[in-house]
Amino acid sequence: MLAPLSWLKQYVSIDMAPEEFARRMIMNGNAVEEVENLAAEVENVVVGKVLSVAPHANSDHLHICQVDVGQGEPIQIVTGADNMAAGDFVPVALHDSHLPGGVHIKRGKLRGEVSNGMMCSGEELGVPADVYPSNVEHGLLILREKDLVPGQDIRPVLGLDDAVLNFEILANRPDCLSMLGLAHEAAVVAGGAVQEPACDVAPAGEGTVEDLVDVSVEAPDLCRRYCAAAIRNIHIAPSPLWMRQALHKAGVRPINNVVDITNYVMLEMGQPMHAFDLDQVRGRKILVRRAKDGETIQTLDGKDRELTQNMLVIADAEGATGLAGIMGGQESEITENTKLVLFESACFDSACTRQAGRSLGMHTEAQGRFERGVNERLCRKALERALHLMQELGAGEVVPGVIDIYPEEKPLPVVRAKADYLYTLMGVEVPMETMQEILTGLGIATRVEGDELVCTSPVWRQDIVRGADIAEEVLRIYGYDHIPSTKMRKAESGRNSEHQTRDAIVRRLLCGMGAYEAATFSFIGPKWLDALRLPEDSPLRLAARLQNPLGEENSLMRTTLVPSMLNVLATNFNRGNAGAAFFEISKRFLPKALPLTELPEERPSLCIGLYGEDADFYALKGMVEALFAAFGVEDVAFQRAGDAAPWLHPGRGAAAFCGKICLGTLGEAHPDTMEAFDCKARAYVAEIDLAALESCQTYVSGVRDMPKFPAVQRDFAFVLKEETPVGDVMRCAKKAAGALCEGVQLFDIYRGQPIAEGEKSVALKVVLRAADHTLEEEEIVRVCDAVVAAVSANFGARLRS
Amino acid sequence: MQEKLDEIRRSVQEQLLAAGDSAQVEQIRVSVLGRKGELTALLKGMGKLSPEERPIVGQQVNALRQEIEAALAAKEAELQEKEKQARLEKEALDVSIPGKPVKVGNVHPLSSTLEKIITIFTGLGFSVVEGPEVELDHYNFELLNLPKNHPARDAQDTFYFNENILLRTHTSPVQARTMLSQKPPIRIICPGRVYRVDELDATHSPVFSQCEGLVIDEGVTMGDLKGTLDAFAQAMYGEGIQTRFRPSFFPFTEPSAEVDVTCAACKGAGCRICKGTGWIEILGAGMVNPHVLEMCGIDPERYTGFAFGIGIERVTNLKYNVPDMHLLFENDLRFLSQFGKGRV
Repeated sequence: MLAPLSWLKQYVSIDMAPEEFARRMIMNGNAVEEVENLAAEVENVVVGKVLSVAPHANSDHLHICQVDVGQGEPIQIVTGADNMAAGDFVPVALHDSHLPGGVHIKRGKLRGEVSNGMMCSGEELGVPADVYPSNVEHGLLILREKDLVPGQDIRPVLGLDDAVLNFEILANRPDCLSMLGLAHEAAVVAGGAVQEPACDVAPAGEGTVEDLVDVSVEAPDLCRRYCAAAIRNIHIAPSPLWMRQALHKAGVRPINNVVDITNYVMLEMGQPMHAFDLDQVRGRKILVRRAKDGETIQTLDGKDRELTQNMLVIADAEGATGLAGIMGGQESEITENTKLVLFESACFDSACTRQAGRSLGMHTEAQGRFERGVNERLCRKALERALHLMQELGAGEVVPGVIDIYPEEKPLPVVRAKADYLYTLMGVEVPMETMQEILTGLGIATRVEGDELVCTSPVWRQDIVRGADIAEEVLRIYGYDHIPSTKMRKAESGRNSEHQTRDAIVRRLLCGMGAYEAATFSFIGPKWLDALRLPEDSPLRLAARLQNPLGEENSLMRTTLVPSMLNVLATNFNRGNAGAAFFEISKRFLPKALPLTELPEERPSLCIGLYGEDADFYALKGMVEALFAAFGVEDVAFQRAGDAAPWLHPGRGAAAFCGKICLGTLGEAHPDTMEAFDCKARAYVAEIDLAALESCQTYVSGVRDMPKFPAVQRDFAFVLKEETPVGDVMRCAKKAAGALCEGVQLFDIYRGQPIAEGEKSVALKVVLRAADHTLEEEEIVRVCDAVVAAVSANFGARLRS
Repeated sequence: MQEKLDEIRRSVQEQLLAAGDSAQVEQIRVSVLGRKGELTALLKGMGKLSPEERPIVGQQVNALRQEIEAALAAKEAELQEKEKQARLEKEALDVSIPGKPVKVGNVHPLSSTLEKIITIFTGLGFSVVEGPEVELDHYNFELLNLPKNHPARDAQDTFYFNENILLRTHTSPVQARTMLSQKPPIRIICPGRVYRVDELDATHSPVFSQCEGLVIDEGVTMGDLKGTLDAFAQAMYGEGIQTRFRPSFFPFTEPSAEVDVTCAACKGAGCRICKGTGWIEILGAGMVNPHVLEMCGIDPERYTGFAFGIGIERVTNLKYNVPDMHLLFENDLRFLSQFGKGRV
């Protein structure tokens, strides 16, 4: 909300610098985003009177002017403009002057002739043509005011001796979307009373407004009040400079007197107004009703719109012409030829306006105000203010009578609040008299009854309904700085959650393995799912879709973290970063069905990705195994991933199982997938289901005795077929070695002479130990024979000689 | 005889003096004490002596034998010590050569900030509670005093799946769920991801994270809120950091406040980071709106409470002077790895 200080000063005296005023308003709860000090932008610019205009000898377009700037002697200024004549008053930027936008003007020479400054256009001073109609597009701003004196400061002449404050209006204070609402706040800051604007009207002529138009409200639930009044003998003209300047500074473009008045009153009192050309209202009938399903209208912006019965329309005898509170119809628009005007000042339902606007994709200033809540108690006053201004501007003749349909006028809310309750909320005991004083200053009529405050809401406020509101009003004026800092009673012990604890452990583990934690969005796009080479019926394609995503690439809630991780790898690779490992802990969103009818399952997931010199399948697998070990998950079987992870290299992808539970997948990314991510590196990616991992985790329950007897190692070199999985052989050997087996380790795989093509020699070390005695040779031999027999039988292996 | 013994002694002494390594010492030992050694030969020749002489000579020979053995051992020890010293000298390393690289990663700055916040608040008696990111309108808005078509919903532009299911715009729905399921006293924080329809730019992200807090008990005051946030600010940013409350509005709380902390960069003197004010806005807070308590089945006559919401990205960016939100989500190694070079 842009509020020119000069406008606020019409109602309340503010005797301080704009910045100080802003600071105090902020501390009272009226946030100011910006203070634009118009006066500070223009410096050393004065009114000048052109005395003579002569052509420049060395130029075909420059002119040399002698200008009276109130310094006794006239000064010479060279200009490229040609719309001035001797006797004109113009703004003159003197030597060493400043213009908006940081422009600095100095004395100089133009084609050999001295120019002691610059005569200014409206644009150069930030005064658009709408505000200053004598302003032409390319040329000097010719000042038409009376009583101009050469040398006088230009700022008051053009209304630039002002500051504009941009207030951020809080959602509970729609009353502050108006100059008067802000003036009530300013009065508390500046310490004075609010001077209400004049609303007196002197109607003239025969008949009343009821003779001219028939207004009825068919939907009083959506239109709690409807006021209207008529003005005849309309004379459409530009509004006066003061009004144009005020509108411009408040961010509204001046149009003509009638339209400007409706906008001025909206900004002044917060009440959106509409003006009808009453001669164009068919049947001179206005009906406020719900639209019919499928009914269409053409709005002021020339668009045809199809309506539903949840929308409120303004109709005439022939049909709907406008959307209530949003936009009027074209038929009854104010034109140069308008002779009879009807002003509407109504209160339309906030939710209904909001819904209608949303579903039609419209957003107007009036709509925004109705959505935030227009004060029905002020409709009539705003209408009277508009009529007063019509008279003041001589824009027409007010017809006697006002239509005011207001079926359910409610009394102003009265709030009773006990002092103790207020003290608890505020944390500070403000004396009763002080509270009463503060509230009264805000216009909240307050009396003390015992230990209770009895407060009546001011007519312009709509947010004073319960005790907490009173606490807030008192506290914000008393000063939040007075709130003491106290310690809470009953210190309990706080506990971290299981999830956060688990994630912290996983983070430290992965960091210790050399991986960097990444953070990516929870969104992915369908293209990324395609990049994963997922078949059409893949469950990972069952992703919840946003209705209003930020682009197609962010339209789905991810069902896997893999694409986000591959994107991280691609980004780093393509930026020339040497290889690295990354991980991310986040959620996968798994809907039970689409479209969503219930909340999807949110499954915690860990994704690991690596590329670069040290990255290969076994580096990744080692990390995954170390993670499993840290969670006490043993006996994990790694199988080919196959269809479970089509984004992986068909020969280099695995799925890890603990019993029947799938803990996740890992492997080298498929070249097609990497190509889709525009990454030429080989990349390795694992996704681990942390919920599954937790379901398999075991705890360290106690320590075992250290072994008392020596271990024995026996090495075996098996010749195996190339396709035989070594992991299976190791598991087989371990099983065959039985209870004495402490572990089976792989220490070499050899291919080549003298091993035949298609075969490999796999060297295993089997560690044996008994808990209660030193192993006898006989026992060792028995175990070794069993290992060899089992591996030979199961895998057709033979011992390498 | 005595002469012979003296001769051997002298000869051994000479040879030992000249010996330079263990092999030469061994050679001496063999030549004197070995099976065919000189001293051994003397002993063998004892039979030729008279019975009276034998014990005397035997004693002398044995004495010499012991003497020589001791001298050999001493020489041997000396040589070993020398060899050890030589080896140690030879093994000297250039300690200025870098060590074998150990790869260590580091946590994301958003995680370290969140972990720190959790540590501070669990220390203040708050427990961590989490909830779903895909939420029902009911919990995200309605129970928090934001009925359908309430204009304040505009401030939290929301991603929707349908009319009732959305991405939570704050972690407050976890508070609502907790109030419905748990009786006061309640003292919780709710960390997690939240979502709003904002394009990613220097200061906004459609995906970000919050840690909200809620306390409900008898007699909880705004002073308690200030005390709690003071404790948090000092633990997070250091001793001497103060908080400043400014009036504001949130549908969920009343009275509401925007909370500033002393700018850590200039200690409140005013600098570029705090735009000269000496204060940095870090969070929103307030007393839980009695209407919210009512809707969640808590008697507002008996209980009061406060709530606050901390933006993890904001706290992180301020703490580490991160100039642009993009950096947090791009995951460029050159950015991430900076958080492993020092304590965070």
